[in-house]
Amino acid sequence: MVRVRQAALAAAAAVCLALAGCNVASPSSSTSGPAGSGGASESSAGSPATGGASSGPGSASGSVSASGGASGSTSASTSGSASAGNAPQGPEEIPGISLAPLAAPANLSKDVKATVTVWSYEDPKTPWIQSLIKRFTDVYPNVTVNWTYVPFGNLVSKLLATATAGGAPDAVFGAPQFTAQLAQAGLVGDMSAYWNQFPDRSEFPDSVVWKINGKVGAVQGYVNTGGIVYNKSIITKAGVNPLPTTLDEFTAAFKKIKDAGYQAFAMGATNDATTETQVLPYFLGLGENYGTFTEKGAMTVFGAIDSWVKDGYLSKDATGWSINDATNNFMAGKIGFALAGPWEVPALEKSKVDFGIIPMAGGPAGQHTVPGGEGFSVLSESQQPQLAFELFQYGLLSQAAGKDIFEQAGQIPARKDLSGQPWLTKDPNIAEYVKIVAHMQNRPPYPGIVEAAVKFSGIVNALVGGQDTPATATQQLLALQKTLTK
Amino acid sequence: MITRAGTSRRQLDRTIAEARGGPAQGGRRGLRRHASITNTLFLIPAFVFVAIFSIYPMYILIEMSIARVGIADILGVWPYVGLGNFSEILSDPTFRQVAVQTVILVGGIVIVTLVAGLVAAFLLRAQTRFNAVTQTLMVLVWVLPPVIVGSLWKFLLSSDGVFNTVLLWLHVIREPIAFLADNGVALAAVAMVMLWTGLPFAALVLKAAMLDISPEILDAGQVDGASNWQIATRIVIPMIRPAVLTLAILILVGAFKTFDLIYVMTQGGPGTSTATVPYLGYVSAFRDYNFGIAAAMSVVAMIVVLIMSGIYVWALRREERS
Repeated sequence: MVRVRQAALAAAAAVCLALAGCNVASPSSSTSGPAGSGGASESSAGSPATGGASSGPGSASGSVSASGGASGSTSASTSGSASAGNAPQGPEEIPGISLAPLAAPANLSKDVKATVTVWSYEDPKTPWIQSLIKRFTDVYPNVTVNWTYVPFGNLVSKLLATATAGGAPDAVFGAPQFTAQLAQAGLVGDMSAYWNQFPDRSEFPDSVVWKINGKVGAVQGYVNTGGIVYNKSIITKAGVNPLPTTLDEFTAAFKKIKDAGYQAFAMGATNDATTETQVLPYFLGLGENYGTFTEKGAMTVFGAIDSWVKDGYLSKDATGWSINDATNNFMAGKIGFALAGPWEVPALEKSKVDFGIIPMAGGPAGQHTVPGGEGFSVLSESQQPQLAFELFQYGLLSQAAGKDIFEQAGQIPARKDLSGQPWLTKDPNIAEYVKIVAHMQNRPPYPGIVEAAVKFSGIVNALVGGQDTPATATQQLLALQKTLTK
Repeated sequence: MITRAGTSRRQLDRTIAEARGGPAQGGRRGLRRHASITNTLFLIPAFVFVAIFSIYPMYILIEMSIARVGIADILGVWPYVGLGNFSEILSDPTFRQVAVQTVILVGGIVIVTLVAGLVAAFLLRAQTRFNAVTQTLMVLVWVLPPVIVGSLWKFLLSSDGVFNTVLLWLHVIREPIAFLADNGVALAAVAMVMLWTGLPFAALVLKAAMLDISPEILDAGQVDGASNWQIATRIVIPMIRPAVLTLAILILVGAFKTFDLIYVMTQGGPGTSTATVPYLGYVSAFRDYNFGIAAAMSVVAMIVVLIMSGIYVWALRREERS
């Protein structure tokens, strides 16, 4: 009966959708619409995912027993400034979650004929995904890779619905928080055996190998995070000098920029997971994280954001903007500061804006961001688990892949042996991100941290839109924390 | 039954039927039975379809609504919680706030769409070239996919969009209004867009109903000295009442389950200020993965839709009888 019920789940979901009337193609694919209007937060295939989306709770590692702390040991760690001493605390073992065993590794013939299916919010038409696939098919020429684009916001729900009826893909490539969520539903396979046979595994820091109760559930080939881009011309005219580093200094800089006749700041504050990644760093700067949020800290951060809106430094339109929308608006040349990720650097460099990059606002505990990037997971029902793993082994984790992905997509490779490469720090803008990456901090791996991150975003969205005040937002955040840590 | 003449009613029926050249009562009954079987056979495919794609999923939905179903349980056993989910959503201030704004949104849309639709229908009644062009444009608006409409209006209503530009230029406002991002006006802005998309349909339906009114009746009214207002309120509206009623229910149900426009324009935000009950159900299911709670919300929404449908059927039958 349970099986029958499971098989009917998709249909039940359809009723739920029918009642909601959501017979809509995801706006991610259809609302790229008017420039600057924001569109949906997961718009334009690929980039937001790697950006707004993935730097989001992606790293919220959720119940994934992430290596906690900074991923300073990535190639970015060449700066040697990783702040690893602030690893968040959380439960080490997550009861009730386990990864499904996969077929044992075997010696596969290079002539094997098979098909590997992958679902991702990364568009298969982009050059770097094409290169990723080609690196694999160069090794296995008779294997077909079916790479299906699924919008960021729909990836988990589609996987859940498909799993009930059968037909789930072999692998998923996306934000690692998806692994945590899918693992709760029992859909993720244990890649430990494949990983342990991977000769280059020692080149990857623990922070990009996502383990659930000690078993490998996802691996990232690159990392990214958010930073602040500033318009050099505007801040010079406004007299912002030196560049701000704390919330108060940013607020003061915003005022100068507004007084000079420009919009001060752009960020994304949508009602989805991406917003939290842009606000949590302010808490990290105060030395607070999930489990340690205080009323004082929340009032400081939310009060600052509220003042930015009320004083006209940040447009309420941000409630409909993704990070990429914020950057796109910045590229119009009328905004002083904006959130942006390294994946936006190529577009920024093509724009006419003379820009620089600095870390997000910090505080007494330093300037930190939360890690992002995509990882791959082999799913438990995979028919070709080893080939699925090897697709990413060759396509994503190799040295050549690291360089390609950096050059084609602006993502910072995670391999340690690429850390000293001149091409990695040749671009001064990317070099700034490399420094920022070295100071990333993760969220503590509470079960439910992913859902909490989404609700955190909702709190900020309501604050920016005026539905909540700093005081009510603070109450909600503390209530959320109480539920999370209960 | 035996008649006074001692002839059974059945025989009498048969005699009458034979006299009319038709089959006797027994034959008629046989025909009726045959017709009934045929009708049933024709209904089976539709019934099977509805059973598979509506009734059974609804059963699953109800089962889910009385269970604690999160992402960890979705593929396993669903722990029974009775009416716990319903109790939880009814005591949730967010749900209550969203329920109230859903009523306000839907009520406002129904009233304004009907009134504006009637006005538009009156204006479009005359067979002029201008009206023909107008109607063509209205049909164009009506057939536009909601995702495109939502994106378009999101652009138009942004702080640097056309509306704000014009209002600033006219000195109506001093600062741009974030129509879709300001808690105070976002719901009204969404309602306005929903009205914009729904008005053409309402106007065209009402105009079609008006064209069914015999011109002689309207002429008679004019001859009797009735003003345009009196003709509209005393003759036209009463005569198109069935169409108005049907339209009202369609608008009401359509507004209640609107999802795409909200999703594209505001994602229910800021906060939950533009969310409706069905949208909140979607968010609970597919963003928060709280399937049990979402199912309970959907059941509540389903009950509301059923009540509306019941009222519609009752009113329609009442109209038919009258």
